[in-house]
Amino acid sequence: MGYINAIIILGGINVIAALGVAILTGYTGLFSIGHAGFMALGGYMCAIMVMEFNVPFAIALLIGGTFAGLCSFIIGYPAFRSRLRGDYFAIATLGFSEAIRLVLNNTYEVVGGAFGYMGMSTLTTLPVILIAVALALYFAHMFVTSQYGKNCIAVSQDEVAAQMMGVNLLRTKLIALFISAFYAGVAGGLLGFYMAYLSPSFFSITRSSDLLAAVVFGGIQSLIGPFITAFVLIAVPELLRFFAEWRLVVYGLLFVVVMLFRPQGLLGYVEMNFAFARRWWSKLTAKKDASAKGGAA
Amino acid sequence: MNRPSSIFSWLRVPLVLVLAAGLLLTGCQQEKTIKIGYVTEQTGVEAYIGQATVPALQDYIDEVNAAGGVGGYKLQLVAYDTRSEVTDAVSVTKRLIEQDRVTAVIGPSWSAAAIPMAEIADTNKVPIIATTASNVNVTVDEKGELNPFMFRVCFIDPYQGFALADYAYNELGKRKVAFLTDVASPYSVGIQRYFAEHFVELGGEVVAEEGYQTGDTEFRAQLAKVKDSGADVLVAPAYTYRDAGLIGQQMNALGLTITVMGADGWFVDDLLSMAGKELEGAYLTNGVSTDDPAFAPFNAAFEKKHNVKANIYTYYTLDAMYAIKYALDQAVQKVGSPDPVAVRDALENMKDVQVFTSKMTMEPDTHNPHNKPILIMTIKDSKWEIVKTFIPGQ
Amino acid sequence: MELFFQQIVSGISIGAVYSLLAVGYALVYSVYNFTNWAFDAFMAFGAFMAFYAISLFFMPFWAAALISIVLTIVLSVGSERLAYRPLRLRKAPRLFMMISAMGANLMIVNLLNLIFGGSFRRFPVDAAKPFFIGNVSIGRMDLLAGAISFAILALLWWFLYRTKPGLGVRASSIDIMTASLMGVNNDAVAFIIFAVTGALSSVAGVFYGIKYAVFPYMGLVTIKAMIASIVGGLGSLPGAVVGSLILGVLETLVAGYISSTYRDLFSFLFLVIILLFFPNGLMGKSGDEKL
Repeated sequence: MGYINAIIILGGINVIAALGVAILTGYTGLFSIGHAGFMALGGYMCAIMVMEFNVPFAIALLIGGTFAGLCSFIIGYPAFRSRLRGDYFAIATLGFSEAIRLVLNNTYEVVGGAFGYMGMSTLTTLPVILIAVALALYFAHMFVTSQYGKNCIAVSQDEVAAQMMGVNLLRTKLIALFISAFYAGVAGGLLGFYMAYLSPSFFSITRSSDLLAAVVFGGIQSLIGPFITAFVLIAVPELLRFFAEWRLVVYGLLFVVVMLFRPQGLLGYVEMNFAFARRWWSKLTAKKDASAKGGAA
Repeated sequence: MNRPSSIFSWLRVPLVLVLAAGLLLTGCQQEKTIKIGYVTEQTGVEAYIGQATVPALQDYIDEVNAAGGVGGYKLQLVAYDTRSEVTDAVSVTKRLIEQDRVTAVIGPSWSAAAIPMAEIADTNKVPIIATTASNVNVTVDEKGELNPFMFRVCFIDPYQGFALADYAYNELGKRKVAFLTDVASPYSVGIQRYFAEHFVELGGEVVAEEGYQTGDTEFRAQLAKVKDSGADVLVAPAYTYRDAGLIGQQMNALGLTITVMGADGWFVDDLLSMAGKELEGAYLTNGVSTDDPAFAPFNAAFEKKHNVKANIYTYYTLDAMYAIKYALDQAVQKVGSPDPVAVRDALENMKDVQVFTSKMTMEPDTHNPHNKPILIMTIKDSKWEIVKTFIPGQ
Repeated sequence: MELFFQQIVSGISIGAVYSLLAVGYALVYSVYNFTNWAFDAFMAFGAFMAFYAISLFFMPFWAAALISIVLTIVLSVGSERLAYRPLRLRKAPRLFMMISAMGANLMIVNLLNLIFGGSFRRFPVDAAKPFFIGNVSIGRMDLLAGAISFAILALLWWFLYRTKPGLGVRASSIDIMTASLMGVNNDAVAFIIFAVTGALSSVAGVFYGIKYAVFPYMGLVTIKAMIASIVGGLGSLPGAVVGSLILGVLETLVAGYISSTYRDLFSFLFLVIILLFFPNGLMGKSGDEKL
C-alpha cells in the first residue's frame, strides 16, 4: 500500500506543480524551465514556517506558495517590462532557479545548505494530497474560465491584438506567473513534508523540464491533459522498472512516439469542464424525479 | 453479444492454467526465498556505481544459493535504479519494502538519499545498510537520536577530514591549504569542513576556498586562483573520480604542481587511466585497497566475467551484503525465520565478523563500523600505494 | 595581471567549445524555430565513435574524427527524418518538436550508457604540453580547437553566403513557406541543416572528450551552449559565437574575481541583465514569435 501511496502522493505533487506550469505555459504562452526554483522557494519557506515558527501545515503551505509567488516578481517584473518572450524568458527562469539552488546550497544557517534541511516530519499524507489536488484543480479551473484566464489566452494568441482590446499585458502576465509560482511553491512544501527532508538537489533542472514535458504532453490550453500526464509521467517510469536499465531508453522512445502520433498533445485544447458531471447529475436527478413521479402516479 | 463470450471461452482454459501456475510459483517462492533489495544508480552520471555492483551482488547470491542458501532459504536480489534522484530512491525503497517484501535493503551510495530512507526503514522496521553514505546524520539524526534500522559500512566524513589534515600537517609538513569543494555535495563539504577545522587547530592556515557545482568539468579559473594564493597543498574531496581526474589534468595544463589530496570518492581504478600521470604523488584516504594482493583473484575474475572493473563501490556493497548474510544466518538460527527485526538485532551486535574486505564490528550506539582503519594512499607510477594506516582511537 | 590574462585565455578556450554547439542551435533555430534538445546526445555519440575508432580499431586521429563526423551526421539526419519531419509536415507548434527532441535525447544518451557503460574515459590522444608566455599557460590543444572551430565557422559562413544551397538555407530561414514556393526544396534544406549540425556536434564532442573526458552524459554541457546561443540572439550565427565567448570569459572572470562558489549566480545575473537590455539577444532577429 505504501508504495502505491508513494506513487499517488508523488504524482499528486507533480500534478499540482504541473497545473501551475499549465497556467503559465498552456494558457499564457510563456514557457518556463525554472519552476523547480519556485518549488524550492515554497518548500523551504513552508518548512521554516512549520519547523521554526510552529505554523500549522495548511497555513504554512499557503505562506510558502505566496512567498514563491512574490519572489516570481523579481524575475517576472523586469522580464515582462522589457518584453522577454519565448526562449529568452525561459532562459531567464532557468537562471533564476539555478541561482536559488546555488544560494540554498550555500546557506548553512537554519536550512542546512548542501546537507539539506533535516529533522522535518511527514505531514503530507494521502488525504492531504487528495484534498490539495482537488482544491488546486478547482481553483485552476476557476481561474482559466474567469476574465483573467481569458485575458491570458488572448495574450498567448496575439499580444498586440490583446493589447488593442484593452488587456494589460504586464498585469496579466504577472498574475499568471504569480499563480503559477504559487502552485509550484505549494507543491514544494508538500514534497518537503512527504520526504521529511529537503535538499537543494531535489530541485534540479530535470524537475523543471519534466514539468514542462508534462504540460506539453498533456496539451496546450487544457488543465485535464496536464493533470493526467503529470501523474502518468511519475507512474510510467515506475511501471517501466520491469525494463531495468532499459527503462529510460523506453521512456525516451515513448516521448517521441506519443509526439508523432498525437502531436497536439494528449488532450490539446480540450477544456476541462464539469459539463459531463452536470449532465450525469441531471440525468440521475431526472430519473429520480421520474421514478418519484411514477410512484406518485 | 455472443461473439465476445465465445472468444472468452477459447481463452478461458489457458488463462486459468497460467494464473494457477503463476499462483503456485509465487506461492513456492514466498516460502523459500529471502529477498534482498538494492537501491542504486544504473543510469545518470553515477551509472558506473550500479554497473560495478549489481553483477557482484548477483554473483555472491548465486554462490550462496549454490551452497544451499541460508537455512534452506534461497536468496534473491531485487535491484532498482534511482537515476541519482532522491525522490526515486524514496519511492523504490517503499516499493522494495512493501511490494517486494524484502528482508533487508542495501544502499544508497549517497547521503541525501540515505537520510529520508532511514525514516522509511524505521517506520517499516526493515533494516537498511548504506554503502558509501558518509554524512554523520544518516544513522544518527541531528538531535543525536539513533535511527534504529539504519546502518552503514563506510566511515563517516569527520574521520577522513581529520586523518587527511593530520597527515598533511604532521607528515607532509604542509602549512597553507587551498580547497576546491563541490558545494552541492554534502560529502565534499563535510570532509572540507572537518579538514579545515583540524588543520587550523594544528596551526595551519586556509589560504583559498574555491567551489564548484556537481557536474562541472571546468576548473581552470579556480585552479589559477589557487596557484595565485601561494597554497602548498590543494584539498579536493570530490565525490566522483571524474572531478579528481579533471582537476589533475587541468592543474597540469596550468603548470600548478602543489600536492593534491582527496578522499575515498577518488578511489576508482579508472582514475589511474584517466589521470594517473597528472595525479602522480597525490594523496587520498580510503578504507580498503583494490591493489591488495588478497583481492587480485577476485578483481581478475570479476573483470573477465562482466567486462567491468571492480571498484570501491563493489567492495563496500559486498561488505554490506556479507553483513546481511551474517545477520540472516543469525536470525534463522535464533528465531527460525529471516525476520527483519531479528536481522536488525544481529546487525547491531556484529562483532569481529569477517566481511568482504575486513573484520567488522558495528557500534551499537551509532551503527557505524567500529574503528575501521583508514589508509593513507598515494598514487605512484599510476598505481595506488599505501603509505600509512590510521587506526582511530589509537 | 598574470592571473587576469590566464583567466581570459581559459575563458576563450571554454567559449570556443561552447560556440561549436551554439552555432548548431542557432542554425536549427534560424530555420525551424525550435531548440534542438537532442544535441547533447549527438555530441556524446560523436565522442564515443571517435574514442572507439581509436581505442578498438587503432585508427589515426584524423580518420577517427572523420568516421565520427560521418556517423554523427547519419544519426542527426536520421533523427530528423524519424522524430522531427513528421511533426514539421503537420505544422506542429515548435514546443512539440522540443519535447520530441527531449525524448530522442533521453533515449540515445541512455542507450550509450547501456552499451558503453558509465565510466569516464580519457581520450586516447596525447594532449601536447602547454606552452607558457610569462606565467600564463596556453594549451596547444586549446589553440588547435580554437583554430579548427574558427575554420569550420568560416567554412559555414562561406557555404551559407557564397553557394546556392546556402542561399536556399538562408531563404528558408527568412520564410520557409515562401522559400518552398520559390523552388527551394524543403527536405534538402533539412538535410543540409541537420548534416551540418551533426558534424558540428561531433567535432565539439571530440574536442570536449580530449579536453575533459568521454562519458555518456558529457552532453550536459550543451545547456551552456544553449544559453550562449539565446543570449547571442536566437538564430544568429555570429550571435552564437559572440554569446559563447562572452559566457566563457564571464564564467572564468566571475570565478576568478568574485566567487567561484557563486559563479553561476553571477554569470546568470549578467546574462539576464544583457537580456533585459537586448530582449532579442545581442544579435537576434526582432519580431514576434509564438508558442
